[in-house]
Amino acid sequence: MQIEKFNYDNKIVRDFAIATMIFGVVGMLVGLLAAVQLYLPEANLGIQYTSFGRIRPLHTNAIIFAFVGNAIFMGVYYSLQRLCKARMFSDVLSRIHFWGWQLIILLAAITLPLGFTSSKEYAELEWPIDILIALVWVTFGINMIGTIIKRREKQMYVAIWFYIATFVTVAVLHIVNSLEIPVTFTKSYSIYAGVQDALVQWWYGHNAVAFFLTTPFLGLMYYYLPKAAGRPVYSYKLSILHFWSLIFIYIWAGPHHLLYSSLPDWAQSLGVVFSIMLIAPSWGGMVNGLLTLRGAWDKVRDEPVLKMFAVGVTAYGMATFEGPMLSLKNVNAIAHFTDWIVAHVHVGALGWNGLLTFAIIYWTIPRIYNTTMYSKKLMNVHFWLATLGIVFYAIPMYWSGFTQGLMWKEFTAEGTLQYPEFLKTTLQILPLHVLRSLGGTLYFAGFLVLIYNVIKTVKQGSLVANEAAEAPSLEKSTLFKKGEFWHAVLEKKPITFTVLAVLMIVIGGAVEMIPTFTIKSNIPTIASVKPYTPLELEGRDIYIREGCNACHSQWVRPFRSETERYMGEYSKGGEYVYDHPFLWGSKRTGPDLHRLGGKYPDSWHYHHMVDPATMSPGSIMPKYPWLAEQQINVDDLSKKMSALKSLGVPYTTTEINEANATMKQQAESIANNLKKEGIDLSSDKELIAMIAYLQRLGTDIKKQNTANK
Amino acid sequence: MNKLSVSLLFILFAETAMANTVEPMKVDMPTILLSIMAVLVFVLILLVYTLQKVVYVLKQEAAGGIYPLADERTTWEKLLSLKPLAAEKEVELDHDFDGIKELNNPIPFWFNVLFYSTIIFGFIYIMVFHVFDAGKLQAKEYEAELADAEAAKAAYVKKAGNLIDENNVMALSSADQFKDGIELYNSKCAVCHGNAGEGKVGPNLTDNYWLHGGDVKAIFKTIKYGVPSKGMIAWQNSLNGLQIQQLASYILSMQGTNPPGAKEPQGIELNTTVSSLPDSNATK
Repeated sequence: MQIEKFNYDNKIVRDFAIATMIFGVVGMLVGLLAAVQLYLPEANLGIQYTSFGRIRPLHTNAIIFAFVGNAIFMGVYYSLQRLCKARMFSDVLSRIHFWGWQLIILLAAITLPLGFTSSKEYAELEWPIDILIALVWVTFGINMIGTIIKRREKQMYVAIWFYIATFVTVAVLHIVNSLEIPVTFTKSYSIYAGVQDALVQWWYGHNAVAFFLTTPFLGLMYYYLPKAAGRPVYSYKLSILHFWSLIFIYIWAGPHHLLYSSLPDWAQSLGVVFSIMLIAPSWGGMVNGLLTLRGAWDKVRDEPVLKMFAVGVTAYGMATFEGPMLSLKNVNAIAHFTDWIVAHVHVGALGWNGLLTFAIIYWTIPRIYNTTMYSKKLMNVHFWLATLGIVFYAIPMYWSGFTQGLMWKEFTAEGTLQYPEFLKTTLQILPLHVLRSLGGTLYFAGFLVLIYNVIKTVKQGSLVANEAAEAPSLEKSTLFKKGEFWHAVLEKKPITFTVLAVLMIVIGGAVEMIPTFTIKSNIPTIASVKPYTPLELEGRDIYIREGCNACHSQWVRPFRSETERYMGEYSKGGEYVYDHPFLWGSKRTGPDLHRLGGKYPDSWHYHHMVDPATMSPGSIMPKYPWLAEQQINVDDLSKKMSALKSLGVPYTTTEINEANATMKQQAESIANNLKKEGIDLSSDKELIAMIAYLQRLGTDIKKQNTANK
Repeated sequence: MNKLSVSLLFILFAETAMANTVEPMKVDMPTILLSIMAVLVFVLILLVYTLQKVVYVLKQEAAGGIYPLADERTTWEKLLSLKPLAAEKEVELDHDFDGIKELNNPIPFWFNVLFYSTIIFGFIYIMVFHVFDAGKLQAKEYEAELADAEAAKAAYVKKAGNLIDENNVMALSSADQFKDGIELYNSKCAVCHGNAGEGKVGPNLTDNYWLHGGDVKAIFKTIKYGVPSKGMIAWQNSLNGLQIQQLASYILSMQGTNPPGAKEPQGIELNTTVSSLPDSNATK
């Protein structure tokens, strides 16, 4: 056995740490701005680029992919090298990965406020950036797998299993969900429509939580927690059981985002039962984490890093118990579309991802700078600011969620809705939104304390860019050693392990998607549902650009309270067959819009879009005056229709050739309607297209009913 | 004792999710929510209790307390499958990763119980809803909900006596009687018809031109069922008969008030000012 000398690359770890801190500030600030706009709509400064619909995706993307993403890479690059006893596979790939990822973030920060969006949650970025993400992600994967292959450690530690699962699953999720047909450089349409698009999106969305916010952090926990506590990991067998069961079961649970929708019942039920089955595998991580602290409980008292781990892991346990409960249909019926869900995700994001990230930064920075943290006292201050911030954030949001969820469903004895005006239920919860933004501010203040502390620490130390290390070279030996658990064989075979992990995560998605895509009876067609007219299509694209789906659903659930409130039948799968992408939404800050068409006159929409409060006094919807000023961009109209035609939308060649004329005709008729009411709006304005789209929403199915009569 | 815990946990799970989905929804929403909450709180208490025990054990060990031997362990310690800290070396695996050691502790007993009971729950759930067809899936659940609401409404109507509708409505003549109508008008109608009925997006209500009839029954009907093609909302789901009666009466009282900024007339002219006596039309 020969001892080999090599260096760990600490510079790349430092770079990702800096990016984590910068984008943490950006992401949290944008979140704060969005939170304030929910009770003070004027906080968007009247500018389209900072209106809620556009900055909400900016906030989620900045937090998930920029803040948490960079934190993952920081932790993985630090721990992987040490767990493999090897430097990263390639320094060049490390740099490409780093700068590539920052470029993606920069492009996101530019394009999302400009309104270039696919509208699919956490996958809003347009197709050229999607391709860039795929390339950079694969770069990361090659660099990681390469490092694992040239490791000097026979077995792969549990943290690495989670890193591998993260890499392969995120790659599969991102590629499948982002399949879209480009129209221009900044516009594309999802190749899936309606129910199918919803299924793919929430398979992605749910598993982005699973494999971007959960598995990499479990991996990081398995490295940093025992390191920081100086204790052995509690149970190796539990690691094995909860790893495989977690990645296998997680992938099935996506449909719990679509309960009481027009997704086929069997798929919804699979979503329910697999969510329930997720409790134990999720808790496996919490148990292994907390019981690793066994015998170190006295340290937890004085060590802020361990405190953060303990609270973070507990937040994970709470969120992963709550998630399955929210997947039960009777709980979901009340919680879905309300602030309860916002509270749920923030317990996960602020508690689990946030606190773990802070703990990892506090643990890593002094080590790569060969010093100690500047101030332990400030670390404690940060711990308390963060913990209180979470409490002040979550409690008002839970309260708000219960309140609004119950108000929506309340009937009077006469059988009429107790709160027929949606706005009343919104106004009721505004004080809670004020409190929530205070909680968020506390949490953000804590993060600034971290940054100050880190800057002071960095100044007192110096970066050990290449940390010397040595380890015996890896020698060929028998695969199976007597007395070892059978799983140890897999831990020595990274490629086999990776292939097995891919198999495990492909099954669930395939079982749910293939029948939904191929068996016709799953989405019964409705003859009277026709494709959008050219003007409505342009209106729909403006709806997407403005991010209306951030606050409005297009999905009336089969509840008496909803069919009464929205004055129409509940949404059917056949109504969405030409919706590329689907726009069902996931949160009702405002009312559902699926049965909006024909409910109000065109002039009502004009007034409501220009200044919502004139039509709904007290409304917190932002004003959209720019829609009455900007012209509809008609240049790409026929290209858009051709793209949709290639996806199966039955536009005829004549319709595509005459698109501009058809559009003009419909626009003129709306402009004339407005003129009759004394509103002078020229027919080439975006607002005209928006009105056309809103008036079309959910009306086709009524024609069928008239015909049947 | 252990068997008891197993069955308890199992019942708990079955109860939480099945109770309200399998049975037709006969109870009202708050009751359901309360029962869910009760179960959730119970589970949470159980969870907190367990965690408390864990913390207790951990603290005791941290303080160097001697841990009871395996055969003397309490039920809680058995549930947690905790080995004495002193015996840790026995379960330590003989490798380390960057200094991290792993123990080969068994998977905790309660963890297995939890895991396998959720799997059984999932199996039963699918059987109930998709094999034996014993539960109500969403379409049937919706129908049942509507039927229940109809029944409840009918029962209420019976109890509350004759409700006002478009066939029996009478105009109320004094402002005292339609006080609520004024309030309702200001909060719901003024947006489109103007504060004084002068007409904005919606038509003028103060002149004697009517699009859909100007007597109290016609106005009642227009308010109740709306004119969806022209943007007039149907209010039948948000207002009851009494409220619509008061509203219609208030609107009738605006006749001839001639407010400033009145919108141009629309519809058919009714010759005389319609007052509380719809019959006065006949004088034409």
